Amino acid sequence: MQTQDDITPERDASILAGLLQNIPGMVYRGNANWSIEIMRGCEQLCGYTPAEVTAMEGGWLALVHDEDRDSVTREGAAIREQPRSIVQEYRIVTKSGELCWVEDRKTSFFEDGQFAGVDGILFDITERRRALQELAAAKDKLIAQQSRALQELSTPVIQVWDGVLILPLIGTVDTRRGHQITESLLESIVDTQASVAIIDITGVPVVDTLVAGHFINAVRAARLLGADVILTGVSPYNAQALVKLGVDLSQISTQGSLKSGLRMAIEMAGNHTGLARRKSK
Amino acid sequence: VTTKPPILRIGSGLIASIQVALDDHSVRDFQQELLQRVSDEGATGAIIDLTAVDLVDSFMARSLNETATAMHLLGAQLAIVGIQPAVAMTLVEMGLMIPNAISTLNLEKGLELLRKRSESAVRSGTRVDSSDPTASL
Repeated sequence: MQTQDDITPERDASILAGLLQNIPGMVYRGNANWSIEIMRGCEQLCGYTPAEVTAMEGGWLALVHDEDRDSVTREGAAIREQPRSIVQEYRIVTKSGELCWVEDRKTSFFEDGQFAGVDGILFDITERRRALQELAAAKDKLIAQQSRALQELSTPVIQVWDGVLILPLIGTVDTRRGHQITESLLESIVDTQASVAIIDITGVPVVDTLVAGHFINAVRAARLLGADVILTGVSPYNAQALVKLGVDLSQISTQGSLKSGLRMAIEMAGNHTGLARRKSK
Repeated sequence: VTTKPPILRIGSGLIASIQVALDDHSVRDFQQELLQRVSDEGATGAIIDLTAVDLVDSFMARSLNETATAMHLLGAQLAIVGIQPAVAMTLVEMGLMIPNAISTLNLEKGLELLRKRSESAVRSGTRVDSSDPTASL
């Protein structure tokens, strides 16, 4: 077994060559004027031979995508000041004209206090970026699905009696939810031809001017369709707050509890259907 | 092509179904014709069906309310049936209400309402006036 002491310059070079063979990317040394010496992996990455790249005006920079060239140059300028390492991600245009995302890891080196060049490795990360994008898209889709499910849950409308609907609301009501509530209330009224709807807000922690405004709008819109709305479950705290805010809920029929609201609703709906029965005789 | 909605008589009431979007001029004409018919025929009520209407502008909303108010003066009640949810939401958001007309969910309930009113008018021997509690809706 050989030890470190046995390493001669020749062995050193052969170890380096062996290591380079195993690097899945392009290994290069860039000079101060952007000209480039490519040690391996050039054709696999960009399709050009090292000679072709070296012959290009601007060297490696000629391959960089137009939109990324500025940022690559700008970031590259920072490592010309002092020896340091940076990682850049940008697009290159390959010989076949395809776009390829690369990760460029490079370290600058100095000779006699002067910037002399960079050593770096470039990896093809097109696949990785695509996978990440797909993952992000899948995540967005999942979030959209869940928020849709949550929306449906947030405004349930239940038909509890002939012509009587209940909307039990739980949680905070914001503008978006206020719209949803009105929308699903009106749609359910038309679908079930219900003449009375109860909005129960026992589970709504805070009712302020804005929230009350949503309820008033919902009630008005329902009336335009020809249905009445009863508001139930206003807590003493909310009642006090509404009075202090000066919100006028006098146009809305309110009942203390869902129970009494339901009784009132059934009576109101009963008058409608009772009338229909008497007439049909 | 005429956009004038036909006005039909049923019992002591009138029915008009608006099938196409009316311009301001047609709305005005329609309002006049309806009031004329109510007055001429002594109708106790009229129903305007908006089921097929997906847009009610501020002019039409105001005109409907004027019609309802004028009909009260003639001793008749205006019922509006079949307002679409989207139309109702738009009207409410624009602050346009039609307070003098009664809305009903469908034509059947509208007819029922008119029949009830004409019966009570016959019973009391007079036309129903605008102090009817249902009119305060």
